[in-house]
Order: sequence, then C-alpha cells, then structure tokens
Amino acid sequence: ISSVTELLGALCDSSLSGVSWKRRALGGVSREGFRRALKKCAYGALLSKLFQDGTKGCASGLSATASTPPRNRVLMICFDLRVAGCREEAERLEEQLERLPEGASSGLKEVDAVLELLVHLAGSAPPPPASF
Amino acid sequence: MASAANANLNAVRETMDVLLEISRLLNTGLDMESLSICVRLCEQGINPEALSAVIKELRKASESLKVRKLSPNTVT
Repeated sequence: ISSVTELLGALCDSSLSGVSWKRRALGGVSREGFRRALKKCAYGALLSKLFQDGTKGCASGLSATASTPPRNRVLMICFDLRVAGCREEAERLEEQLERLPEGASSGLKEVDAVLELLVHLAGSAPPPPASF
Repeated sequence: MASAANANLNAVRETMDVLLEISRLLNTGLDMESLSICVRLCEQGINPEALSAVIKELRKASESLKVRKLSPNTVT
C-alpha cells in the first residue's frame, strides 16, 4: 500500500476490526456499505480540516501552541503529568522522547509530523481498565 | 548497498517501537497497525492535525455501529 487513497482505505478497515458482520448483514448493514460510509466520513474530515487551515492562515496568525515544536509539546504534557501526580508516566515519556531519533537517523522523513499527530490524539482513547 | 538498506530498516523499526511506546503513554488508542498506516500517511505529506480529525471521526462512526449492534431493535 502506498497511495493516500489506499492508506485511508486501510485506516477505515483497521477501525472496523473487531466488528462481527454475521448478524450485521441481517440488519441491513453490509461491511462494504459501512466501509464506503467510513471512507466518505474520512475524506469529509480530512478535506474540511484542510480547508479550515487554509482560511486560518489567511485571516490570522497561528496560535502559540500550534507553532510550538511537537517535541516541546510532549515535554509540556510531561509537565502536566507531573502536576497530576503521574511522575512515573512523565519520566517514561521523557525517556522515550530522548530515545526518538531526529531527522534522517530515524529512517523516516516526517518523524516530527508523526509526533505532532500523537500529540493531537493524546488522551483521545478511553483510559485503560484499572487492575485490582 | 544491501547493508545500507538493512541499517535503514533497523532504524525505522527502532523509531516505530519508540513511537508506539510514546503513543501508548499518551493514550492515543492507536495500535501498531493503525500507527504504521498513520506514519505512511504523514510520510505522504498528510497534515497531522487533519489526520487526527480523520481518526477521531472514524472512531465516532465505528462506535455508533457498535452501539447499533447492542440495540438490535433500532431501525436504520
């Protein structure tokens, strides 16, 4: 898989993993139909965000947080974690950030863009179940 | 030539491991499969903020499907 369309399709598929389609088909929702709806939803979100960014850039400057490099934003999250009493998580996060290679040594062209994505998604998943 | 490709592959693998751990600590909800798709989309030049909006929308949509699954009497 290499093109953006193929990758977005794969992302839709991965978000459907764990859904049983045996009973679903009887309810009138086919996997293919839902996959199409998901793709439409994905393109809608992608394009609306891109157009929003285009108008934002023309109308006003970027906010201070938006212009902060993603590595610094992760450090800001570490600070917040410490303030919230999660010292171990903060230290582990700082440790991993130090391990993350910069530029060409990472083997990736856009490692900072990936880090920025992770910052945008931070805390978006439900918290892991507490163990007793 | 082959050793350079191997070295690059090892670098990518190590970077992916670190990114996955950061992702887990940040509670992003991405597994290795979706993270690697996202990495490739970023490598293709997709804006990370727009991509995060896509992921959140996909989650909402698949969540609504699971809710419908739990209430079979719902007419769609």
